[in-house]
Amino acid sequence: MSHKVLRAKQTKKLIGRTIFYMFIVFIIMVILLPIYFLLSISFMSDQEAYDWPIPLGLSFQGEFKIEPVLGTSEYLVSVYSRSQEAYMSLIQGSKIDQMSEFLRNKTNCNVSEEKLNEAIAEVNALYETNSNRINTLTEEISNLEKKILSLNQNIIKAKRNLSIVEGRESMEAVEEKLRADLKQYEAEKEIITVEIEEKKAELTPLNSTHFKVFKNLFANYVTFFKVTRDSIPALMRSIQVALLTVFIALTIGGMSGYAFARYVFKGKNILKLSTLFVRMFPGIAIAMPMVIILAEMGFYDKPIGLSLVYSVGQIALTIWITASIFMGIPVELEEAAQVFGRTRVGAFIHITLPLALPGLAASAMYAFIGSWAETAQAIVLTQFNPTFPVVVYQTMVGAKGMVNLIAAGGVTMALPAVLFTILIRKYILQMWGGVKV
Amino acid sequence: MKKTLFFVVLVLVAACLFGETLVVTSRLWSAPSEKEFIINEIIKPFEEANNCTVKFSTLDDEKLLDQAELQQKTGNITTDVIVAYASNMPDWVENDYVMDLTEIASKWNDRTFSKGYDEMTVFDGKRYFLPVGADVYLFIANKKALQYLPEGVDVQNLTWEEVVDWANAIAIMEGEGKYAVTGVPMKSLIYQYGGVCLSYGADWPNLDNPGAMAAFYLMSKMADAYTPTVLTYDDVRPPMKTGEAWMATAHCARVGEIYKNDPTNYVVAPAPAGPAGIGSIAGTSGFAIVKGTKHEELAVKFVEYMTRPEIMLKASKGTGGFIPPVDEAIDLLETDKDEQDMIIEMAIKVMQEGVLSYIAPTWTDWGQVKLVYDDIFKEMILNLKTFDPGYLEIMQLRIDSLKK
Repeated sequence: MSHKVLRAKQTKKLIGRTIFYMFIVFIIMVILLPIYFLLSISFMSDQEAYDWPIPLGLSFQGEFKIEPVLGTSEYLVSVYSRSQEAYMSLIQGSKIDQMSEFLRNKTNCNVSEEKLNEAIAEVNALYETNSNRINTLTEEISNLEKKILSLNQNIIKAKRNLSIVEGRESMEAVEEKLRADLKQYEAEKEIITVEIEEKKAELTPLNSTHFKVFKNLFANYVTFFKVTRDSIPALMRSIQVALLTVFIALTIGGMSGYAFARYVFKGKNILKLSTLFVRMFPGIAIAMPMVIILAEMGFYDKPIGLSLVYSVGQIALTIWITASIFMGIPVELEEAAQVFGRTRVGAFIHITLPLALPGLAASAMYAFIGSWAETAQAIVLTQFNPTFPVVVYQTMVGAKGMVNLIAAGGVTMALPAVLFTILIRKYILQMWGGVKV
Repeated sequence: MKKTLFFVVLVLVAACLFGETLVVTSRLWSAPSEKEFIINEIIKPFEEANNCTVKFSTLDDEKLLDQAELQQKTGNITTDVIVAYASNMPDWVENDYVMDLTEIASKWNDRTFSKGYDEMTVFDGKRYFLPVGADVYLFIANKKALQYLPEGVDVQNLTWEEVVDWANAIAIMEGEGKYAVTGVPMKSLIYQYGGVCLSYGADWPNLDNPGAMAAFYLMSKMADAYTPTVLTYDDVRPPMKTGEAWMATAHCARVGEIYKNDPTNYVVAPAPAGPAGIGSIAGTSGFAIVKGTKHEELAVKFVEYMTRPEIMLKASKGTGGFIPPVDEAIDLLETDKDEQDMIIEMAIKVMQEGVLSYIAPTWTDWGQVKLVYDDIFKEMILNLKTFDPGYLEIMQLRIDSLKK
């Protein structure tokens, strides 16, 4: 084989491998990035969550700047924004207790009144020393800003006129003049902007002081549980509903699955298919009649009532999963066990059931996640004993402008389902992952 | 004797331990901070004074009605007091889900429910709802927008022409529009545009009148002034908070939330005016006692407490920017106001001086009426960018078909 052919083969292999790994990285990013994003937002303060572009990395402390507002007895507190790479003003005032509370809510940093008082004392001392220069610079900046405002009006006017005359016949001279004016205004604006920046850079160390405060990373979670009344009982109720659903679905669905796998009877396939019909009805559509039935049974607003409703759909899925698993387990194994003295039930419990565990685990996972995350029906089917997704939903409905709080609620809601999946991962991997234990 | 005494003590202890429980479900105060304030600062003192427990929860109007329907059907009335929005009040009354409070409310001499809300809360001369948390529309702008404010314009006394001019100037200078409305269908665009129509003397929500035509002509002139992602907004709070949008005319409580969250970076003003004045859609929520409640006496005590002028004012002050719809509460604000009450003051100004309208219960499907405005926004304003009176007349036919 010539050197050239070998090289071409190697290049082809390299390209193939690169594409393969790029694909893998892409898949990982598609799955992991949104999860990471949700997690990181749940740890962000309100100020960070609405900073644009949202910083992806977590911050562990807030950097604050405090300065006096000239001509008043007030102070302006700003926080450093990683996205803007600048200090963003947060609150102006003179009431220290209110400022401290506002900063705590806005930045998740416990900026104590003592800390603020210390910073104010420092900034007052600075002002005493540099008052003349501060006043001069402030006045100069104010005058330059006025000039900018005036230039903005000229630029807007020129741009508007330009859009009218642009491309029109016999308007070339006007267009040229407008362009020249615009260029001049923009150049002037740029010079003044630079001048303002320089003056601000000189002013900042003269009239402001900085301090850092550690962030309370779990503040959103604390707030979430604080504003979501009865969230802990609701969490326990949800776990109860999910476990009951798993139990009902596995008991009835598992037994039916076994029957479908082992017995031959007329209409078996149609019957098996028909179990899926219940999953085709939108749950919310049958929620209202279901409420009346449950109320008559005395199960309305009780975990068992919700479990029964959820189980209807989950049983069908369990039947299909377990039936396929039971079909894969040779009947001869059960027969052999019976030959060696086991009863039929004994053979099922000691031989078939352990082998079917992966299928049962997968069904359990589906039943758990399905009942855990369900909200629409739970809202209608509960009132005083809501499940956790219902209380999360109720909080989220009102928290539209608080994306960090919503993220904290989302993560809290996902956590038990994730834990449950991790607990039974061994069996799921056995079923779909091809791992032998 | 000892036994009797023991029994009496036991009964008293039991009564103390197991006070009545009142269930209150509300569409109002659903924001976490508002809910927390109402529970801790308003409801807690009532619980202590009456030795009872108030289970306060929030739910949207639709779910609230669903629950009521279910409770009435099963005869198991478990909700005692509800807070519904004005547009849904007719459903509660027509279905006979709530009690007539006329006689009860007439005994309270220390409060006068603002007359402007009687049209929504009083049905056939009977008061079923006690107004609470009234709302109008206010204007909010990020201070970054002030650098392009046209000369001689006063932010506190804006006209719609000035807003259009200003918003267009921002679009020219920034390279993209910065004005926000709720572009997602069936949200509040109809109210945001309704304010413009009313300020031009329109018969809102009808479109075939000179006022509406003039308003839409003006709106078509700011087609480029909206943010590029305006069609994805179902609420103006997030884009205003991120700085993606710089200006909006929105519900006073939402404006209050944006402003109070970042007071150094925003300016708030009454909704802009037109030739007819400051136009705004007004609404209110209202307390009602559910028919068949097992705790009627406590429910009456609760609504009496919640509508006291001082409690109304306290609730309004602590929850952003709602107007207390009781005249005496507004008078109280005059004697007890601080800088934080600016939003309520502006909202009251709009309520008292503005050209107001509300959602009349004359529509078969209000959501479809909303959709007409959403379509006009998307088609005529964003896509065509021209004023088309013929198109508006066709859309009027759609509105006509939705009248009861």
